[in-house]
Amino acid sequence: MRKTSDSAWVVVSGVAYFSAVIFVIWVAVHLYILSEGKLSLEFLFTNPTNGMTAGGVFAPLFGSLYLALWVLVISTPLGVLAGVYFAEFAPDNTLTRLLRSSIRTLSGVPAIVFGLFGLAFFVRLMNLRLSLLSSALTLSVMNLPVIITTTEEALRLVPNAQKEAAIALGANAWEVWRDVSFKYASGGMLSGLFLALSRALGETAPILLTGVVFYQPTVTLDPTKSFMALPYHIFILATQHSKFAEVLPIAAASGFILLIIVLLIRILAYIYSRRIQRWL
Amino acid sequence: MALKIEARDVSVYFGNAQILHNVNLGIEEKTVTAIIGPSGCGKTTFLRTLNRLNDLSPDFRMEGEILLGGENIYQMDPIILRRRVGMVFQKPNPFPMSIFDNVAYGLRLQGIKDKRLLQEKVKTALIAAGLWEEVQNRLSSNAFDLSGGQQQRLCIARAIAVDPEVLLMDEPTSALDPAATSRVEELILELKKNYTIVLVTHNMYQAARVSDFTAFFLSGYLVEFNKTDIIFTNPKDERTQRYVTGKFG
Repeated sequence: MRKTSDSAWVVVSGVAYFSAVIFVIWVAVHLYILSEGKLSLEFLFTNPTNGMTAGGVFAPLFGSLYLALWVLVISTPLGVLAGVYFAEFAPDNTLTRLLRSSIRTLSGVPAIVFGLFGLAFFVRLMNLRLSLLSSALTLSVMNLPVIITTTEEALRLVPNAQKEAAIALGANAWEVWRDVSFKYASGGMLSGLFLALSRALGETAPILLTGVVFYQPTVTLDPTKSFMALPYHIFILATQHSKFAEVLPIAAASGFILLIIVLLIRILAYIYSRRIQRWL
Repeated sequence: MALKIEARDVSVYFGNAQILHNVNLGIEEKTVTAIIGPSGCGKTTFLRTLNRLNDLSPDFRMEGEILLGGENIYQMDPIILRRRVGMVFQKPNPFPMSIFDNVAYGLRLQGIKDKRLLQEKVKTALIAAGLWEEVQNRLSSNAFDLSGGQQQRLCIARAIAVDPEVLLMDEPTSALDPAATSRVEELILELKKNYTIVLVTHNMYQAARVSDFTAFFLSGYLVEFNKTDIIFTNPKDERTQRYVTGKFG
C-alpha cells in the first residue's frame, strides 16, 4: 500500500515538474517559429526602423537592461539593509510587527497600482517627469518588499550554532555577519535579487505610466530621459500596430529574446545557489 | 591551588523567570570541574554566563559577579573574555570551511596573517586535540567530510588554537557514539594539564571518569559542590545522593 502511494506521488510530482519544463520549451519554440528567422546578432544590435516594421530591438533591449541596472542599484542596498535590520536588530514590538506586515501586504499590491503611485509621486510630485529614473524608482518601490522579505527569511535560516561558534571564538558583530550570516544567507538573498531583476525586465504596468515610450530609436545613458523597453515594445507590436501581420515576427523575436534573458538569469541564480549549497 | 573562576552570588533571569539562584562556586586552575544535574537545572545557563554568551539574549539579566583570575568578567571586553575562555558546544558545529581554516579562524580573528605561524599553530592545536594523525593529509578538505567524533575534536582544536585559559564544554559527547565519546574523554584528561576545564554533562559516569570536582545543580540551585569522589561516594545532601545513585533525574 505504502509502495503504491509512494510511486504514485513520484509520478504526480514528476509529471508536474516536466509539464512546467515542457511549457517553457513550448513557448520558446513557438516564439522562435513565429519569428520567421528574424533572430540574428544584427537584430540585437540595430534599432527599430520604418515605423517599427523593420530593423532590430537594440533600443528596447538596451532600455530594459539599463532600467534593470538602475533598479538593482537603487533597490539592492535599501532592501538588503532593511532585511538585515528586521532579521538581526529590530526589537520585537508593535511597531516592527506593523512594519513587517505592511511590507508583506505591499508585495501583494498589483503592479498597475505601483505604476499609478510612481506617476503621482515620482513623475509629478518629485517632478522627475516621464523618465527612466521615475520608472526605476517605481520598480524599486515595487521590488523592495520582495528583497526585504527574502533577505530577512534567508538570515533567519542561518544556524544559531554557527553564529555562537564564531562569537565564542571572539568574533565581533561585524565578523559574525561577514563570516557566518552572509555566507549562509547569500544564496537566499541572491534569489530575491534575481527575482527583482526579472521583474524589472518583465513588468510593463509600472513603467507604462512613468517613462516608457513606444518609439524612440536612440539610446542614451541619461536616466532623466524617457526610454524604450522590451515588454512594452512587444505589447505595442502585438496589439497596437496597424500593420500587425508585418510586425508579428519582430514581436515574436523580441519575446524570444526577453524569455532567454529571464531564463539566463534564473539559471545563473540556480548555479550560484548550487555552488553555495555544495560548499555548505 | 589558585581559583581560576569564582562565581559570587550569581543569579540569572530570563525575563521574569529566575534560572539560577545565588550560585557560589570556585573553580580551580587546571582541573576538570563537572556540572551535573537533571535537564533544566540551569547547568548550561551557568556555563554560558562564564563567557557571557547569554548576553546575546535580550531578556537576560545577571546579578552577582563572576571573576576570571580575580577580574570581574563584566569589566572586560567580551571579545577579550571569549578569547581567554573557549567553548565547545553540544553538537559539533564546525564552519563550512576547510579543516585548516576552521582551526585558523580564531587566530585570523586576532589578526594573525603570517602563513608559517598559522600553519604552526593549527598543527599544534590539531595535535593537542588528537586529530592531527587523521587529517594531516587533507587539511584543505571540507570539515563536514569528517565524522561526528572527528568534527567535535576539530571544534576542540579550533577552541584551543587561540590558546585560552579556560575551556567550557557543554555536553560535548552527547551527539557522539561510545567510541568517539571515549576518545573525547581521554582528550579532556590530557587537556587539563594546560587548561582549566568546565564540563557540563548529563552523563554521571562521564563526570565520575574525567572530573576532579563535581557541582550538582537542581532547579537553579547549586545543591552540592565537592571533590568528585566525595560527590559520588559520600555526598552530604540527600538530593545529591538520590541523583548520583540514579533514583531520579
